[in-house]
Amino acid sequence: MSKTILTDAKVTIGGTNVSSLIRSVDVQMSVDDVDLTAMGGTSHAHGAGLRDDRMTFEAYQDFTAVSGLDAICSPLLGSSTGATVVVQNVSTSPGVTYTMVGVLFEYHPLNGEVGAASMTPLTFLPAQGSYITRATV
Amino acid sequence: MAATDPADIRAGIVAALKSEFDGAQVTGYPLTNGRPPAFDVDLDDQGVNYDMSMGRGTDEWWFKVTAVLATGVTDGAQRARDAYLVSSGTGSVKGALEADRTLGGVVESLHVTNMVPRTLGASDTDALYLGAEFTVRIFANGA
Repeated sequence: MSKTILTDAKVTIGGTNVSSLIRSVDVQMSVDDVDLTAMGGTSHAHGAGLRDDRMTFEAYQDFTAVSGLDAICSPLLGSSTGATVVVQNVSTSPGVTYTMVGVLFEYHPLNGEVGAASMTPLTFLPAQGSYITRATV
Repeated sequence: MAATDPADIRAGIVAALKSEFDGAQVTGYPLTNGRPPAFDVDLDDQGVNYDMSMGRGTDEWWFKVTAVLATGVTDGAQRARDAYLVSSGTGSVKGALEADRTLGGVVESLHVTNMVPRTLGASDTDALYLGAEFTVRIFANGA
């Protein structure tokens, strides 16, 4: 058992390592809570429904042509195919990866006030048929 | 990339100031024997905020650049300091430092955020100087 201070999570989007731009990360794995309660029951019956995962990042924006975060994320808005998004708890092995094919349903390329660091919030939802899978490396 | 060396940041700031203020004494460290007009560079009280992004990607550095001008019986020094305070153009400290926000590729981004006026005293005499202290916020690679 050991505790960890999160400073070295590795994030790749479509194969590009964007970790140095990532300020915060939230890998959310969840399933719908389906109510299966029936007459005669004394408490709610919960059934595991469909997966409803997402990955949320707070990132420094980077407008570098081709390789910058904006160039990577812009095509993913409303994309039907998406891009593989991988989050690893540390950049080295051994580690745990969380992977899904993600798409963006909203994108805020510019989001901030004067004098502040240019940040962009990113929320990746699974492309159709995809969900977050866990693996060890 | 290697972690950003504060000595390189200081050198970048010095180069930017020298390119604008030819003839002024400019040092990357606190002045010990100043001859106004002069500039020095020191860490701001806000210091360094490490790990602003994952994987040692970004550190936030805070520096202060202090301009020192001799006082006199006329308002010449005050007028000269006023010229430093203009936000851009010839003779502007903010303009000089932000002309290349990467300091020649040493840092990722630089922003002169504010200025406060100072009255400075020499350590070895009773002389007083006019000063202007500029706060410089820098994002630099941490790994």
